[in-house]
Formats: sequence, C-alpha cells, structure tokens
Amino acid sequence: MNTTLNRRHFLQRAATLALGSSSAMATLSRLQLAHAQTAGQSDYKALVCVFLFGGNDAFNMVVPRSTTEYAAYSATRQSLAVPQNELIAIDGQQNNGAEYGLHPALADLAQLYSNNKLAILGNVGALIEPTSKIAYQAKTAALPPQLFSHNDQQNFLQSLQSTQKRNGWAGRAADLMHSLNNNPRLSMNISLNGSNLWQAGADVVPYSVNPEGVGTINAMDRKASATENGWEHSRVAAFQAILAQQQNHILARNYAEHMNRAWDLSEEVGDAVAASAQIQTLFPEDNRLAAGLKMTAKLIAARDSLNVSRQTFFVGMGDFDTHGDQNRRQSLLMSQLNDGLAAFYNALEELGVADKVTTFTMSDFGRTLTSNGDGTDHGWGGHHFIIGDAVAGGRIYGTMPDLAIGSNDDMGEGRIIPTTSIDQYAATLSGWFGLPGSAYADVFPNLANFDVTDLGFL
Amino acid sequence: MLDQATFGTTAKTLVAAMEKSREQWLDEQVALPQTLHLPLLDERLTEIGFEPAPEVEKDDEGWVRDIQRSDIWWESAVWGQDQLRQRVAYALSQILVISNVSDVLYNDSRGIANYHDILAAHAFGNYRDLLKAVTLNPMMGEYLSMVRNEKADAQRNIRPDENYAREVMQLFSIGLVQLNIDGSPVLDNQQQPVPTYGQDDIKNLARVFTGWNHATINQWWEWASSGAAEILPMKAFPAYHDTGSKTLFSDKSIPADLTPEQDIDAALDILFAHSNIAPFISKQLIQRLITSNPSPDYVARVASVFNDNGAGEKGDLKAVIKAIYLDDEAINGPTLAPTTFGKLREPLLKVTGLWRAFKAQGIPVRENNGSLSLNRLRFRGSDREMGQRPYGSFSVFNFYRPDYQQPGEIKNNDLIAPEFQIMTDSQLVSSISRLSGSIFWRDTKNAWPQSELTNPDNQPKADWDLYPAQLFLEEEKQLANDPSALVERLNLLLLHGTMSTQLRATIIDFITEFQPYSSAEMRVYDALVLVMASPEYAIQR
Repeated sequence: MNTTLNRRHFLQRAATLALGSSSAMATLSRLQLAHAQTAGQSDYKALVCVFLFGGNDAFNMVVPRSTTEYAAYSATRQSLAVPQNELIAIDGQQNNGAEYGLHPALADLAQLYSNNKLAILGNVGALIEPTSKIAYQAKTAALPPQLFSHNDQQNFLQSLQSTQKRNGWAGRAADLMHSLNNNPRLSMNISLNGSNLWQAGADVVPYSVNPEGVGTINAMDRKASATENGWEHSRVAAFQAILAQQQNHILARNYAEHMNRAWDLSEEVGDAVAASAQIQTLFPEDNRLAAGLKMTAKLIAARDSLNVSRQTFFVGMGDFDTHGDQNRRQSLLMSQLNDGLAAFYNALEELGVADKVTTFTMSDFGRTLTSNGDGTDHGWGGHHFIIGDAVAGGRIYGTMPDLAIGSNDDMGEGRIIPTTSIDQYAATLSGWFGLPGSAYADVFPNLANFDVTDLGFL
Repeated sequence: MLDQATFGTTAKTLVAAMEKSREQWLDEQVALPQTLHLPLLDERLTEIGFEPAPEVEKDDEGWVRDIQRSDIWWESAVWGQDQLRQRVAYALSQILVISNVSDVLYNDSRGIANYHDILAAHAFGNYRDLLKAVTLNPMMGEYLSMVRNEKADAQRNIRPDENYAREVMQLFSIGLVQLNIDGSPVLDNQQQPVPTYGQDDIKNLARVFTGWNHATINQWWEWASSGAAEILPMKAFPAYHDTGSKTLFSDKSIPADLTPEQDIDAALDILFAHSNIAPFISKQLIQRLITSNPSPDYVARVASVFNDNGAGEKGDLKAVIKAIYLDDEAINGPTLAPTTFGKLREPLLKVTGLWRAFKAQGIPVRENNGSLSLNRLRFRGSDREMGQRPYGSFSVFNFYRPDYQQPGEIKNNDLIAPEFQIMTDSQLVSSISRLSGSIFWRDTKNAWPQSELTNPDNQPKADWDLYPAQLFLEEEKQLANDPSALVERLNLLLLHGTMSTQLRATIIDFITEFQPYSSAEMRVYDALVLVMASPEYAIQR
C-alpha cells in the first residue's frame, strides 16, 4: 500500500482541475476531510450498474394495471400488451391514482419492492434540458446527439456529454474519489462487461475482469516459479523484461502497460477472491447477467483484502433490442433479469453489505409503444430499478407517462419523452456514493438545467 | 504485406511473395478460386451423420452443427489458398455484421456459412451488389428483423419495423454524420457534426423494406426458417409491401407503385450515390486491414478509387482493395508514422498467425457416432479465451467500434484503437495463456496430441469446442542449437524482420541460459511463446 504516492497523484490531479474550476479546491478539501473521517473500509460503498444493452422495453416491465390506464396501454400496445391479469400488483398509487404492476416474470423483484428494497424511477432518459413535446416539435430544445441510435445513446447515458471527446460520469467521479481507496493498483472502477465509457475517466482506467474470474498465465506462474522452478522463473523474468522494454510505438507501449497491470492484478485480485468467504447463495446457470453479478459479489467479498472503500461495477446483459418476436424474447430476458438481480441481492445480504451496495439499471433507451407487427423500435424514455437496503424502496419516483398515442408524452409512434434526466438519476446515486456536491458541475454537465438534483430514492 | 493481406505469414508464402511485386501478388490472389464454406459444411455434416439441410431443424443438433461451421472457417483461414479474399471477407464480416450470439440465428449454421460465402464472393466485386445481396439475405433478414416486416396496418396499430432501415444507413453505408472525402466529419458553423439523416428518413426507409419473407413459403403467414430458407434470398410478397412514394434526405424521392424489389433498388441507389459511402466504407476497410489511424490523405486516396475505379465505376471493391494495399502509407507506414502506424493485432489473428506459420495439422476428433474424423482445426470457443469469434460479436456493432479510444495515452493523443475495446485485463491474461498452451508440447512429433486419442478419458469429444492444433516445428528444432538463428527465423515468420535488438537479446539470453539442460523442443517453445506474447507482435504494422 502506497498512500503517499496515491495522495501525491491526487493532489496533482486536483491542481490541474483547479486551473479550470473554482469549485475543485472546495472539492479537494471536502474529499480530504471525508478521507480523514472515514479511514479504512468502515464506510464501504459500491455502485453496481446493470446495463441492459439494446434498449429494454421498460413499458412492458412496469405496466399500469388500474382500469383507465391499462385500457390506454392496451389500446396502444395491442398484441404486445402484457395481459392485465398476469401483472404482479405492486403497492402505491402514482400520478392521479394510477396503479402499477410488474411483468409476470419479475416475482422476486416485486417482492423486493414490497420489502422496500427496490425503487422504480419512472420515465428517465437522455436529456440536455427539460423537454416538452412542443419544444421538441418546434426544435427549440437542446437534445442529445443521435437520439434513437444504440451506441450514441449508450455513449450519452454513460458520459452525459455531447462532445467528440468524452469520458464517463463514473470515471469523472472516480478521478476525484479514487484516492479514498488505499490500493493504488486496483482501479476504483471494475467492469464485468469489457470496455465501457461509463467508468473511463481522465485518469481512471477501469479494470475489467471476465465473469469467469481472473486466470493466470499458463507456464508463467510467478509465485510457484519463485520458489521451485528455476526455468519457469527465468521465463517469467524474460517476459517481464520484454514488457518493461522501452516501446516507442504508442499502441505497443499501451499494450505492454496494460499487460503488466493485468498480470499483476490477476495475482492480487485472484488471491483476494480465493481467500475471501465463499458465497453460499446460488446464482442461476446460463444467465450472463447472473454470471457477472456473481463475480461482482465475489469481488465485493474480497473488499478488505483488496483494501478498497469505494467501488463501481459495470455488469451488462444483451439482446434487449426486441424488434421482432418480442413477447417470447422479452419474457426470457425479464426472467433472467429477475433471477440475476434477486440472487445478487441475496448474496449481498449474505455478505452483510446489502446496505452498502446500490444496484441500478440503465439501458440504451425505452422502446416505441406502437408495434411493428411482433416487436418494437427504438424509443427514448424508460423506467429503471434501483435496489439495495439504502434505497427508499416500495415507491415509484419521477413521473409516469401517459401511454395513450398522441399524448403530451408521446413524440410520435409512442416514443416517450423523458421527464427525468439521466443527470438527475446519476447525481442522486453519486450523492449517496459520497461525491461532494461541489463536484456535480464537472461530473453532471446538464444537471444545472434541472430544478431537482436529488430525486430522493436514496 | 503478408501480415496485412493474409491470416499469417508462412515460409512458403514469404519466399513466393518475395519473387513478385505487390501488385502481381494481389492480382494472383484476386484470381484464385474462392473456397466455398457451404459445400464443405454440407459434406462434413453428412460425414458426421447429420442430414445437411433438414426442412425441420433439430435444436439438439444446433451446437455440433455450428462447431462444424466454425471448423471450416478456421480451416479455410489457415489452410486456404485464397488468403486475400478470405481476409477481406473477414473484414467485411466486421462491417456487415451478423452474429449467432443472439438466439435469433441459433441453429442457422448453414445460413451463416452461406452468408460468409456471399461476403467472400463480393470481396472483389461491387459494393452496391454486395449491399443488395446482404439486404435480401435471410440471415440478415432474421438478424435485423426485415423478414416478415409488413406495411403499416392502422387496424392493428402496427407500422413498419425500423431496424434494418436504421442499421443499413448507420453501419452498412453512410454512417451518422456527413463526411468529407478524407473521412473527417463535416462541421456546421457551431463546429458540430452534421447528421446524415433523421427519424423521418428512417420511417420512410422502413417502408421500403416491407413485404419480404423466406423464399420457401407460399403464404405470408407460413413459418419457415430452415432448409433452403436459410440460403435463398428472401422473396417479395407484394401484398405486404408499402407501395406509397417515399422521400429520403428531404429531396430524394422513390415514386409510388414500384415493386418491392424496385423499391429496394431505388433506395440502395440513393444510399450508394451518397457522398459518404466512399470514405465511410474505405476508412473502415483500411482500419480492419492496415492501420487504426490512417492519415486523412490515405482515406481520401482510397475513397476516390471507391468513387471511381478509373473506368467510371463506383464501388469496385477489387480496385479499392488494391488501392488500400498499394498505397504508399500501407507500404511505408512504419517509416512515415513510426509511433502510430498499424493496429493492435486482433486476438483471432494471433491464433491464425501461429497456426499458419507452423503448419498447424489440426487434430482428429471422436465424433458422436464413434468414428474418428480427419484432422480438424477447432476453435469455436475462441471468444472465451481470446475475446473474439467469427460471426460471434455481441451485437451488430461488431466486437469494437471503429472510433474506439482507449482511455489514457491513446485517447489523450486523440488516437483510435478499435481492437483495444476487447482487450480487457482478463482477456490479456487468458489469451497469452491460450497461446502458451497452444505452443507447449503441441508439436507433431510430441506424443501428447496422439495420446488424447488413445486415452479414452482424454479423447477430443465431438461437442467440445476447442482443441489446440498440432504444430509442425521440425525446421525450428533444427535451429535450436543456434539460438540466434532460431530467433531470426521467428523474427522473419512472425515479425517480418522488425524485431528489436532488445527483444532479440532477451530471448537469446534466456534460451542460451538453459541450453545445457533443455531439449531442442523446449527451446523452440520458449522462444516462440516470448515472441508471440511480446508487445512487438501485439501490433500489426
């Protein structure tokens, strides 16, 4: 553990920031205060982003069940509507008395909702500023670039930036907060789903590990070779010398640096995971989300040996782009989502950290309410889940949209204009995580355009 | 050039290539007959006792069928003569993406093999023809849901599916923003990129792609997804086609009452006439084949050939491919831009590079019916360990985006490095591990691969998806008593003579240290692993 180096690096970073931002010095002193106060892992916190790639049809995930609202929903959705009697009722009247239910495959999540461990955030999406239908049609509202395009919307949700050069909001938060971790080698941001923009900061580069875990290099075992095998030891030394070689080519240099880090951490993280408590909770098989979440739980179980107090995790699940065959495909997806998230919550309870880990969903966009025959197309706003013991659950936050075609929420074909922005969603999550308010302007560039910065679900 | 234009250098191709000019080599490659995957797959399916094209597919066969398809991909890439064609087809498969990661294409292995053959067949043809072949292909039809896409029906409150309309523009033809001929974005007076299309264009184009279904059915509502339906171009059902007029990009009209096919031709003509298509496709081909960061001039030179092959033809891929490889930047890139030229070698190409350089023999497999197969090159599980598998990306957005910037120095220098997007920490460790495991004790004279066949507990099983091939390392072992000659051979085969003096010295010192105690084979394995794991081999340049 080298806190001196870590601190110095942080001061340099803060000094750079200070050139561009008067709030950065305040941020710095607050964070140092927080660091002094928290010392150690006593206040461990993790944010887990579950990204539903392809654009989840959230309007079939949380569905109105009261008569008038269901009728509007069903008239719009036609053959794609979830039958009213199959919805799992959840408590809580919203928006002038409308009542809601969850997709029938979400029984465990409905239970978490009843236990106040799960909150729903209604109709959240990519926005630069509050956008009415009139402003949208008159083209007077500033909009995120390339609405309805998968990768552009993923980029916007993860970065909240429209510029060519971007980094992620968890990355920018980590740039400011990573010195809270007493482990300068392991990134504060860990991905279980490969590269992503969300966790990439100016300084912070995410560490990415496969759901299967961290392997070692065949025939280059550093620990065993150090004691037993002179030959393998020399092979390891030769490879280390090769990786340490001066590289003038930028791609080769970055490959070597990354390889070094991956090799070092494969041992450190692998050992820490192996030494930590075995998780008894059963995770479902053949479920990509569950595999990522299981590895996340193992890494969280290893938090003390890894010497970390703040972490973000990025876990992904694909195939939500249900242009066709939606009724069958989305039911499978919902059931995988239910099983994966429920097992993860149970594992966190088992580890005694359900109040220290907040899990939340994001997705490219919601989908059109209208059908293309047997599926839906790219929409805009959608609903999301936030899960954990720190969550003020059992409630729907935000404003639920009017699902009638041509309503004030519908910009056309049932593409629903979001009424809550990702900046607000992200700021609420990050506030709980410990990001000082003085850093919000840097981390959430569009937040100042909205009145409410804390949506209250945490 | 063999690194850029084939799946890996071999001693034989190196000697042969040295006797001719680049252009001669390219012309010879273009003239070689195409290795067709589908007939090979059908042969193999018959061999293992499957009916090649059943009218009703058996779901429990799907996995083993797809392993056969994958074997043929690897065997063509490693053993095939038509290297340039297959390498370009592989590049095209990363632009015109389909994937059986999604269950939409589960058990469509023949269809995927045929799709590959279409890409390879058009690799030196015209991009407009390729675009139409892809548009009407039933695999693309299923993957991006154009099949069964019908015109709007007010009564049922449905409207055309926008999936293919969106991606054919965003990914297969013109991209999201207006481009200059050199691939740079056109900026408006606020310095913002200018979008190429809006939602109205997508709605209009979605109407064009209505009325198509599988070729083997007679009624729209009939179900078919296997047998010939996987192979034949989709068939038009005019009653389900939107015959109204359509407008694209505010001033390009498609008149009413065209046939479904005329409509598609008119729409593809509009996309093909767009000034973006030349830089958009040319730049991605350069990135897949030569370098992640081509200079704007290089893109412009190739895009100009895309626009006009010299005989007035637009979209001539043979001319485009030749322009890519014969460009001064492709040839002298290491001198012109020594710190940036080239690309991170795709993990898959490291494996083909190893297997080609050392004449991978494959390995026999015990089939489910008990028979022992001929040698197979089997690596269907490459995604698990190398992070990449042909026709196995997670979405139509390929394994990586063409504009991906690795955080840190690469991004801070405003460089692009698509392949870094899949270079996760886990993948770095597991891919070096896999390469090492594919080298140690895998040579043909070693007993290990044979014992896998004789030891019943250890036999390669028909449904296991990964068997490291046997390597032919006799010539290297002959040099094992002369470490510097051995390393020089590896330098020529794997690094086309660019190995740094430090890398050479480190490897020579290491194997010399153990020379008194080690066998020739061990020295070869050790040297080979270190070259292939080195940052120098990691970059194709």
